[in-house]
Amino acid sequence: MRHYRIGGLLVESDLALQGAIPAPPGPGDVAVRLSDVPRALEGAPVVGPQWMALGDRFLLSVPTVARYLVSGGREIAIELEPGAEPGDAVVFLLGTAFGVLQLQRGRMVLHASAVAVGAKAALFSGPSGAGKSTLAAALNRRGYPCVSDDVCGIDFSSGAPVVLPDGRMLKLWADAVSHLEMGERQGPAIRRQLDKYYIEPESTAVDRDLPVGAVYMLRVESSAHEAGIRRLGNADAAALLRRNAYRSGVVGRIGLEGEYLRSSSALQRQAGVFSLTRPFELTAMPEVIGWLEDHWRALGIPPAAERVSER
Amino acid sequence: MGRARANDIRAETTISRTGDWLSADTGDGAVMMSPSAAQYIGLSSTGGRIWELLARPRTFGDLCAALADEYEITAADAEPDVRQFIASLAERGALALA
Repeated sequence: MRHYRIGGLLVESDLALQGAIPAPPGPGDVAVRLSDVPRALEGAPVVGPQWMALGDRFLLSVPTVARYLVSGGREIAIELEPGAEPGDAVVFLLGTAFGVLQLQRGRMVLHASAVAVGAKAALFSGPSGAGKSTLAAALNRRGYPCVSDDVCGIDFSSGAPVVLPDGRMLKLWADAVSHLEMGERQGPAIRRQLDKYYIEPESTAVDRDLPVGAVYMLRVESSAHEAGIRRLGNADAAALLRRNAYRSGVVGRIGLEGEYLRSSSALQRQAGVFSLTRPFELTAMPEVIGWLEDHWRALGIPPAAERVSER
Repeated sequence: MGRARANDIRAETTISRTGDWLSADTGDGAVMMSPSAAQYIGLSSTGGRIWELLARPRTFGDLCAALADEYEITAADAEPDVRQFIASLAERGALALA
């Protein structure tokens, strides 16, 4: 039995989870088991392309890799397809299966990276290629602990939106890796076909739950969007948060549309949702970090990392 | 449902919610979403209050009287803005007028 902390949850796993950060043993919140998984959920009213949902059970079938049965926010059963690489099965486990598990627990799951700014979390959301991981890694180098990468679970059960530490290693596109000169820390390629690498963050904040301080919707400068940071109107904020929902197609079809809208409104009410339009060039990252630090001061979240690196 | 025109809304017009619109409080107002239309509408705090009042169908006259009471204005003062607001939500398929 192996133990990991993912999304603030202690995970007990039969399978080694490459890319997850190990945790000391203890009673698990979530069990990951290698066992038989059915090919279908009989009577399932909702059927997606590679998944079906019935009550609090969600079956994901990834051809040639594995089948996953995610139940009640507490258990993920995995059956590997013949000849499948366990490492490939882990990619979908930490992705879709774990994302759905968090939805089952009433959380919002957003395509976002997060860093700690003092006692708060700053979230960066946006489509693939918008620069979430790259920005988080650059902030990490400036001393802001990495809280979450790629997928961010937000819990509302205490009343205020709280980010739960991910405990996953940063995933970065290879060109961004070389720009940030972290090349010597590249781990094994995530999947052979993908040009992304696991990078262990320099510092992590795996043990603290952090209230959300601000959510930034990342986009790249264009004729329609001038570079800078702006507060989004309520409708734009809700639409962008919905568009960047993790497994966006699943949310509505398992009956969570109203819950998602309430969650996104709570983020607007209790944290603030902003657009962050960045210049196209990755070399402009220090400028973007300067805007963010000014913004945090204006929001009353003092930038903790006044330690400036000279590179 | 035809295109709603503000001038067609009279005191006795009954206004009711329609479609699959969801709503949530954003603190400074509300946001509405229709999953089927994939549309979002942002509301001011007054707009959000009007949407709440329309949880059950009401006549336009009744709605303006309720708002006048809450906001300490006359119903006549409330009418023009409320009429525009109702017409714009009807046009987006969130309200039905009868």
